[in-house]
Amino acid sequence: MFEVRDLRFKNILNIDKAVFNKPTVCLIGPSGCGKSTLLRMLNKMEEPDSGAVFYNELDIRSISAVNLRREVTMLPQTPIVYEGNVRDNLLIGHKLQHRELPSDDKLEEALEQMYLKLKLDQDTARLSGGEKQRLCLARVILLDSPVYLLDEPSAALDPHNEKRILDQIVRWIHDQNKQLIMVTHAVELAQTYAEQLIKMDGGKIE
Amino acid sequence: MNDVINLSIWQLSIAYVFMLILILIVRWRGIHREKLILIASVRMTVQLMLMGWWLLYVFENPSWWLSSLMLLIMLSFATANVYKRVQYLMAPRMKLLVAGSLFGGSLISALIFVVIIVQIRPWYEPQYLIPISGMIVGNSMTGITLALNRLYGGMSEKRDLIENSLMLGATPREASKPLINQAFDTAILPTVNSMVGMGIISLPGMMTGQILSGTLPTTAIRYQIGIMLAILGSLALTIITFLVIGCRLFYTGDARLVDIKKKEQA
Ligand SMILES: Nc1ncnc2c1ncn2[C@@H]1O[C@H](COP(=O)(O)OP(=O)(O)OP(=O)(O)O)[C@@H](O)[C@H]1O
Ligand SMILES: [Mg+2]
Repeated sequence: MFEVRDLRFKNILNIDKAVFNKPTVCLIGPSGCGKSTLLRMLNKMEEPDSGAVFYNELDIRSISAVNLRREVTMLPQTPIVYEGNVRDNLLIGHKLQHRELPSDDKLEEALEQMYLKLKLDQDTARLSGGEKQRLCLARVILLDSPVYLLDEPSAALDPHNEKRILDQIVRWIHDQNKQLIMVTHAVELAQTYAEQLIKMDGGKIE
Repeated sequence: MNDVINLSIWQLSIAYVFMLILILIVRWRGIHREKLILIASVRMTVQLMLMGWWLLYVFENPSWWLSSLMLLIMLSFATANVYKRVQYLMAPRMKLLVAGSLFGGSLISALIFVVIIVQIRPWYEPQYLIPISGMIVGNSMTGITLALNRLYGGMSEKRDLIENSLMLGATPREASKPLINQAFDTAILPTVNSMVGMGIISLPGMMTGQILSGTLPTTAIRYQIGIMLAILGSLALTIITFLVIGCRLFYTGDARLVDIKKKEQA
């Protein structure tokens, strides 16, 4: 659960109060209105000029950034693929957190969940945009974090894949009692999934 | 061995024929560089003459403080040179770290070479200490400049990748590890590569100098081998000290990447 109070950041964000307390929260708004910036605020990738962000009633300034990010996993808007094969890319999160590595079966299961037909030993350099995006999604889902911040996770997908993948993610979030805060351009889908829909414009919440 | 042929001023002045040839060529081709060539030749001559006299004085009056002063001057110039050749704006803490690593890495290696390996007594014997330190400092200076440019370049080009690693829960050290290793590699590679061709495609300067001044080639190569290893040690020490501490300076206390700015191009 997140709450922001009197959040100011340059001339980009100006939010008096917002509470994100439902399991699925969708953030929508025109390009450049500050959605990504707000998401980055929530896991300390950006520091507000003034105001505060609370995670489970705790001011995030009192939580170490690394610990917070290990609990609140963010997927950035641009998919980032690391050098190496599909397996390397799926394991990188666990490696960076020094966690026990999941088995190949688990990795294949995650690929399947994202409707990806890739081999674990396949090189990632030539993946399509949508494949990269789903690979990055599979990577963060494997981390099994309590909270997810997803920035336009379906931007590179066709409507058919977009629907089935978002369905899958939202179902998983509910089944596992996690929280999802998602920026999306798919307004109709957002309206069906979101238990809380937050509209932003010009750095403000409407 | 035979004595060195003392090059007289008159003999030396014949060498300026080479400079004249160059001036004639640029004149003839209309490349307006006469002035620069002239100035460069004069500066080289005057600077080296002054250095010759100064070194003569230092050699004739060996003392620990004069040698230390020379080391200090050498290292200060080297540090300033690094600052000048780095294409990015460095925070004061970064500059301090660069100076510290360069001083530390070079001095430790130079002293080990002079005191323990060649066993010069007293340790400040300028005839050995100064040229040896000069070579070590020069190489470390080039190395740390390469490492700095590579690290800054990597941190700004790979910003998205590093941020992604941070979002996946990496510590700053973990997130910058690939860049650190690349920067280290970039910094030591030219020296390591030069060692590969040494003795076959190049005769190193120090060795050539010693041979010209009458040292047995078999002795000269021993010095050359020793100094190459000392240079390698100094490079490794300087660069790793800098990189291990330096990578942390790219992050804020909350593990966010700081902004990296290029120097204004003059
Ligand atoms: N660190 C920063 N410093 C200055 N300006 C920034 C910074 N980060 C983002 N901006 C600017 O802030 C505005 C909001 O950016 P943001 O990425 O949050 O928009 P967005 O709502 O996610 O847009 P989109 O839907 O296009 O992704 C943009 O005008 C952007 O150029
Ligand atoms: Mg955005």
